Amino acid sequence: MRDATIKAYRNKREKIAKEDVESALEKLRRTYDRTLTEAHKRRALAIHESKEARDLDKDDGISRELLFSLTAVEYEDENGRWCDVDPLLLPLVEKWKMQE
Amino acid sequence: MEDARIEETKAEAARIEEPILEEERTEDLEEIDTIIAELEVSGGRGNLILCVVNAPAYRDGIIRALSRRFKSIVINVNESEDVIRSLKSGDFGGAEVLIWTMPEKLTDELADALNNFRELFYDAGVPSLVFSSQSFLDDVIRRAPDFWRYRGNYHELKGCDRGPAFEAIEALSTSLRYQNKEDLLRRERINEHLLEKVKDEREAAKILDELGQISYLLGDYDRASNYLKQELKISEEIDYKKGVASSLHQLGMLAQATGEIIEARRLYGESLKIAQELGDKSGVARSLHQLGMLAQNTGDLIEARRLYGESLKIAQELGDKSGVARSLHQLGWLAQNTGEIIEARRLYGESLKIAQELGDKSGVARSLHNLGVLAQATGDIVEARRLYGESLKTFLDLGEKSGVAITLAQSALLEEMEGKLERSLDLIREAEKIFLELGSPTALQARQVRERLEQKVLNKKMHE
Repeated sequence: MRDATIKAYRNKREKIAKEDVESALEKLRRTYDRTLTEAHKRRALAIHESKEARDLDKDDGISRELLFSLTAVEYEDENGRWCDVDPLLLPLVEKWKMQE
Repeated sequence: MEDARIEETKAEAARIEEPILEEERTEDLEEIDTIIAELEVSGGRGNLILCVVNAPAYRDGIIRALSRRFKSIVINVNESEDVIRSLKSGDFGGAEVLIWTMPEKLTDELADALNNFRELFYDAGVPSLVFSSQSFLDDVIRRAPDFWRYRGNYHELKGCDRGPAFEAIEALSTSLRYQNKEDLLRRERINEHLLEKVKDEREAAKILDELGQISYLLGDYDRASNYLKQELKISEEIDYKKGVASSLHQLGMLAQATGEIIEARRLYGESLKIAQELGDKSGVARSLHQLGMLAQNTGDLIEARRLYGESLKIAQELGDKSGVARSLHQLGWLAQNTGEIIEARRLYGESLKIAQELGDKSGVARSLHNLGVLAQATGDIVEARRLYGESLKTFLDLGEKSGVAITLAQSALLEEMEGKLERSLDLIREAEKIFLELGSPTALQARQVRERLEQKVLNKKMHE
């Protein structure tokens, strides 16, 4: 949001335009896509499917890393706690699925 | 503040109308303009803006330009203590912006300092602009996630467009394994001697095949072509199909090395057909591999992936470790082509491990070179220099001229990134000379880089 806001400000716009938001989101997506290993991507897909983010054992920190870096996020609502990939990364989920 | 360099600035300077560097890209200008807007908005308040720039020389140019606009302190961070001491001191000499340059590697201590003291960046009452390489930022996201989450914004600056780098060295499908240049020359002498003595034509074809490969590796392409054409002629006369397939394959590699892509494809295709008829799976795998390289070089990445995949499958079935390493290397390059740096690093690493186990020095040098390219692409200059150094030493030892030339050319680009233009120019001149000797199409690319560097050196001298 800050990125989009500052871009709108720089372009002397009174309102944030859709293109400001899209370019900020795309930049973030690119960065996440670049930094995630294949193991991270596989786990992110699993989290997206199961809505749960658990490490397999004490030596496995992949889910934790995904949560810390905000690749995966935790929600709490009337159904309790559940996890998913950050919504901004959902277009990448489709790409990762195709690569599997 | 020992590590800080205070730069007085002209507050009245125009936003960014003046050229920052001679080589900035248009999208970078927009990004820099955004950074300036953000720093203006943040005036008098803490903020944490991350900025990725891989080339130190380019980064320094941007810092100089920003320092002309804002009264700045530049803090060169070498260790965690530099961050903690600077932030805790609270003495910023009336600076409007704190500019931080991060080291190439994120140590555990530095990751902890960034995570644990992240709030101090906002408490400083002055916006912080933190420059790092891409590899550093990637590490931050993984190992200092709290600091990453705390950022106000982040920017990526690409730097000048140098055109395609010399980049990856391909893993060619040759069957020859050797220790060093002397070993190659010794085998050449033995084979030449045997060729004079041998009576059996099939044996003569096999000797010519090896002589062709040796000349190819030594960069004597005319000589290689002569041997291989002789092999082809004899093999056709005695209907020795394996010899026909092998000579066609090697001639394809020669055509590829000199930029004759269509001819190379034709030759590999013919070789593949014969290998399939003979049920020679190893030959099939080699041809598929080379065809994959041609597909990749012409931008057909899907076809390249399919061909490498098929070649890898056959090599795995045959237990051909060398073939497996070769395919993994190329799949690494494909990943690199599509920007999947982590996957590329993994594949090169696997290929390197197998090549080391097999004592395949040429394969090791190729993987090291390409790992160097990845390090360079992500701004890890020290690591890139180390990897190129090791790779170059091995290529020199093996007498593989094409490998020497590519590593020299890539090292030239690395020196340029650091602003060492004269050194860079020396390296590219050396590389261009070898490319010309080889008749390689890469000579043109080297010439373009050399001309660009000559112009930059000239501009630098004029400014001095």
